[in-house]
Amino acid sequence: MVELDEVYLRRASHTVGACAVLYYALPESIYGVPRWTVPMIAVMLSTAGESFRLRRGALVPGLRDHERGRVASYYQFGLSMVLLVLLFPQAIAVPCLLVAALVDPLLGEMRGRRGSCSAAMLLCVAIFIAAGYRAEHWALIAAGSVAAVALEMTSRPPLDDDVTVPIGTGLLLWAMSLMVDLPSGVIEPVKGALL
Amino acid sequence: MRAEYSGRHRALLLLWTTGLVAFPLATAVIIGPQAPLLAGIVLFGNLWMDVLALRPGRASRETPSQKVEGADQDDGYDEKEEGDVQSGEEGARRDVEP
Repeated sequence: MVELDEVYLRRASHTVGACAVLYYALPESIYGVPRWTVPMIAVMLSTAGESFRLRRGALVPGLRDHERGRVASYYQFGLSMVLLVLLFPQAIAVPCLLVAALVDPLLGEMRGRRGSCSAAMLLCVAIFIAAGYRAEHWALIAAGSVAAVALEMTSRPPLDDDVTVPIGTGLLLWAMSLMVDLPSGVIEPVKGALL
Repeated sequence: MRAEYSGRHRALLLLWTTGLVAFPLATAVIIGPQAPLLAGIVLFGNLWMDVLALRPGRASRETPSQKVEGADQDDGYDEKEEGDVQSGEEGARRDVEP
């Protein structure tokens, strides 16, 4: 018997979204097909699946009650991930992906405890540093971290935080990148595979 | 009480759970040599949630199907039954969870 805690099933499904950074490890061209077709195909498949779920009333394990009759959060989250990788440079998309995937479960886990906001901010800063941001990018790190945590804590339906956090933070970083240089991306396509 | 599934949901959950563990591991292996800190954050965050989700004996909320028909029925999910037995407090709690 498979036995899972539904709350943690949702949170674990949220954190696994961080694996979307694998996109940047894909070769630019896969058997002659550009790599951006991979997320596009994923969007088409998930749109078909979500419309099937809504039409047939199929239930997905871990689905919240209020999501049964509307587009579910996981679909919005996936769509935001795809928009991020297709519209923004890697230096913006990677930290936004990770912040959206990891900060939400962290705040959920620490709900009601003191220091949850500080822990989320620290995680954001660590993510920016891991994504190649350095001391000279302090303004981007500070603004991105504050925006992500603020959007996470203030987003209310119908605009899900799974959309507002990655896209809002991405737009802010993009606007700031017009004035401040972005770091270069830390993930290079893996050589010698699927070329 | 933990959520229990049966029938086709078992296969779906098993596949999903495998993905929850396999994808972060694959991510860490592939991007680890290029960005070890990034890979570490992805791996740690995911495994932390996986451990919490799969930890045996953790107190949690019970599924409506268990309340109505018992946990051992073959098709534990029925939309009408779930909607009927969902209490207001339980629904409100579920709504605020991320």
